Amino acid sequence: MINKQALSRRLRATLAAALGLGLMAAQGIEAASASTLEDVRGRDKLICGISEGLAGFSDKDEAGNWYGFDVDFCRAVAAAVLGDPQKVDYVQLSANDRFKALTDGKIDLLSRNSTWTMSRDLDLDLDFAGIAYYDGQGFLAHAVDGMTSALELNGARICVVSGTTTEENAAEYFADNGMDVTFLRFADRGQARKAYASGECDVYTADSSALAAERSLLDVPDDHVILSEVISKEPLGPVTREGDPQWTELVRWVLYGLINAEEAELTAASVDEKTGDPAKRHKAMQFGAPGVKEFGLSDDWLIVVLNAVGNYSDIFERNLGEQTPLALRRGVNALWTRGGILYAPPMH
Amino acid sequence: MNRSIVLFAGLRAIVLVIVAACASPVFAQTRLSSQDLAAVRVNIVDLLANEPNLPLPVRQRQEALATYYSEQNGDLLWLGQERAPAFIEWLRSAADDGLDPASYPADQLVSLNEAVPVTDARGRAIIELHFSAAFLEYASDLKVGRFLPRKVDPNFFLQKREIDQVAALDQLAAAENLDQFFISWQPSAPEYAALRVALSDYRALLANGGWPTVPLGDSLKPGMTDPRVPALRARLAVTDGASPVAPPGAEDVYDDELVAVVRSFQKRHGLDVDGIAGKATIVAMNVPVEDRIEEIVVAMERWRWMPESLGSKYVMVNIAGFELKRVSDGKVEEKMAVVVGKPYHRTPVFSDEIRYLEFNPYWNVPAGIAIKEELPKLKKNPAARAAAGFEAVQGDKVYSLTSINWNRYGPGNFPFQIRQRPGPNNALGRVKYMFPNQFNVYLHDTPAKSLFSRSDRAFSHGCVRLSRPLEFAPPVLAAGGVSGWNMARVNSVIASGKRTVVNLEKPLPVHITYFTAWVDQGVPNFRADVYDQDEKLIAALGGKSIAW
Repeated sequence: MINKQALSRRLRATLAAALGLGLMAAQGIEAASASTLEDVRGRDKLICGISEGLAGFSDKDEAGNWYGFDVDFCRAVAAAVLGDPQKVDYVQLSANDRFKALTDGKIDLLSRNSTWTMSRDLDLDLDFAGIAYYDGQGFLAHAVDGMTSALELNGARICVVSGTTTEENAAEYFADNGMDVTFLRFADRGQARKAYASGECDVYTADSSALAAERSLLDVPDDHVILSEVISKEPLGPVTREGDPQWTELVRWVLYGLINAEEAELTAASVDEKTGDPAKRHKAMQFGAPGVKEFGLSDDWLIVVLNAVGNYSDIFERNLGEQTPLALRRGVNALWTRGGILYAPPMH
Repeated sequence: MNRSIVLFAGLRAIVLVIVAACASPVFAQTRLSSQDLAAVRVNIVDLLANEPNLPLPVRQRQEALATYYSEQNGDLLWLGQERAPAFIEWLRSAADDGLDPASYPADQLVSLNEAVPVTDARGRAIIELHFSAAFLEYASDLKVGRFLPRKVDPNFFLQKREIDQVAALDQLAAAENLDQFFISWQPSAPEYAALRVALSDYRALLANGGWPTVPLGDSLKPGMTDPRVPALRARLAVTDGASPVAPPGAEDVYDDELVAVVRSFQKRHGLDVDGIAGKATIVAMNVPVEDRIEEIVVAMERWRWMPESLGSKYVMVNIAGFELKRVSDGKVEEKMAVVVGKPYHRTPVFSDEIRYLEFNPYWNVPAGIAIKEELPKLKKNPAARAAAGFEAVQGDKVYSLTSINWNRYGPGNFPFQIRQRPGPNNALGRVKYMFPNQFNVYLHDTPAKSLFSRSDRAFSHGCVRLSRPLEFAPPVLAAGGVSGWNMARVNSVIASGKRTVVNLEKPLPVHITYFTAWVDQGVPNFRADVYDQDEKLIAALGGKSIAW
């Protein structure tokens, strides 16, 4: 079946080719959301799509406030555009609904552990603004079983949530290694976790970050280990609607701003006007300068962002780091200067 | 959900609570009556025969466990026995054997034991099986090495062994106690035991803060005065017995006593023994104690990969040490320098048996070398190669190199075998020691004698070149059950210039190894990681997935 969005894009392409590019603007296809930036400014609110609750990424505190790695990115964008990290409406989205909510114009930005893949990039009318977290599929095992490597799992029963690429990745991995395993499929993470905890499965496979979250929800997290192998590439990042390059660029440079701020050791404290380091404050202003003209942001937008959420490291450590229940290490998500692969283009 | 899943769920839930309560739980013995034990054993046999949902480590060893526990005297090994607390202690001190305590579920096993009521025979049966599975894992790791992904480096696993699991369980049952079992079970080579002691010594050095570094700079020559001498003295006082206190007033003098210590340091690190503290020597001194500990750990791991018995007489080559040893009944009869493969033509690690010697050998140039290295020379100047003793063979026919138009040939179109006739320039020299193998690797003489004087000797295409090839022949032949060979006879055969093959009556084991750490008469020796094998192995043992 031809997908509707692909069809509409093909139609537009054909029309544009036949009649010249001017037609597209005149036609006003998706005119309402031609400039997400203007929409956001007009309503003085960012509408940000997040997951329905994933420990460390998007979670609600007792007072009902959202927090987490994905949530902080929404806050960073609101701080950059509207000067206030609180000006966000959060929309919880399931894995199935997330991209349609974006293409239907229900949200301005999707910040919900979504993997950037070629088919998603090309088949759906989406743009991935960058990579905020390098994830990969892993395995959670019972410590008492003494496993250290996924390659020791011959004969294992494996819990997996259906409807994602997870089972396919694992099946391919074990077939490549000549191993025989059995999959037990569950509709959601809660059921899979329960089955794993009861011993129905020997291991539970999902993205490593999600496994860390699941592990933190088990009765005694220390009795469960995440095995060393990562068997797939899952680059997660914020997603925007296709056809609005200005908005995509803005989102991209907010992300890169957070990463570059870590690399340049810019923090809320170090860029503080009174108590900070004037050189660092100057650097933050310099980093932000190109965006001021292009997006009409305030001169000190990056400083506002740092005050709201901190730099990349602050966001990571606060939500996912070793002091949190998830206890994730930076690993590949460390800066390229520190043995990781996190690399943002320069800001000048 | 079937019954056993409920059972495991219950077990696991209780385990969780108990582990949470104490950081390093102590194993508590539970008293079981003989009736209780009999009931447990019945349950074990039943579980192993009929239960599809056993824990993974038990399922993976189900056959061996079923065999053991159904035996006439397949007594319970853990419940109601003294072994369990001792086993927990072995797991917790796995680091003494260079293993990683974090890889074994000591705490979880303790909690498991406490979690199940004595009266729950089926639950107790699961505990017994969990202990036996963990025991088999540890026994395997200790004896034949830890699990490693094959993809890390296929060269690690040429002859990966497996333990006989039923035999391990039987031996454990028969052993007086667990300590006695493990002491007889661990690798029996004295080299392993010596490394185990060195590991403990170097860990103690680490606990004391390791050693200070020596600043790099101009080479320190005997008799010189230099402000770095106190640092040199302090460094060598930690590991090499240098006197920590200098003669008063001569603190900066590189005196004879310190020179002697530097020479012994150089010797045990495979450096040029010249008493000059130059760059290579100081760099070796500045390798931190943590790295030396890792080298010892990987050496112990490699000893686990060695065959159970090396043979009463054998030859052992250490690639990283550029050295060959001939051993007879535990005694090193001879050591000689060897040249091994360069990093892009690694000498592989494996064990085999020398079956024959060939005096005045032809060198049959391997096809790859013939096309890559010989053909360009033949195109340029075939007469020069002919003068060096080379000829071309096709089928039964032997051709002079100058009779062929080499420009007509190239990769994919090369019908000849190139070989070099016996003689003084032959690449294999005057003798080769053959142990036919898939790698086409053997020991041989070489005309390039100058390389033996270098301290770093990785130059060959993979074969092992001997520094005293002819002197090696009589003892190898004698060890191989061939009598009547002395140097005079070897020399006369060489002088004949004729290709002469002598078969051994009894094949002589030869072990090609890669050790960057060993202990020689109580002295720890370290060598450079010439093939970067340590680095990979350390990463793999640390559970890192690495792409190389």
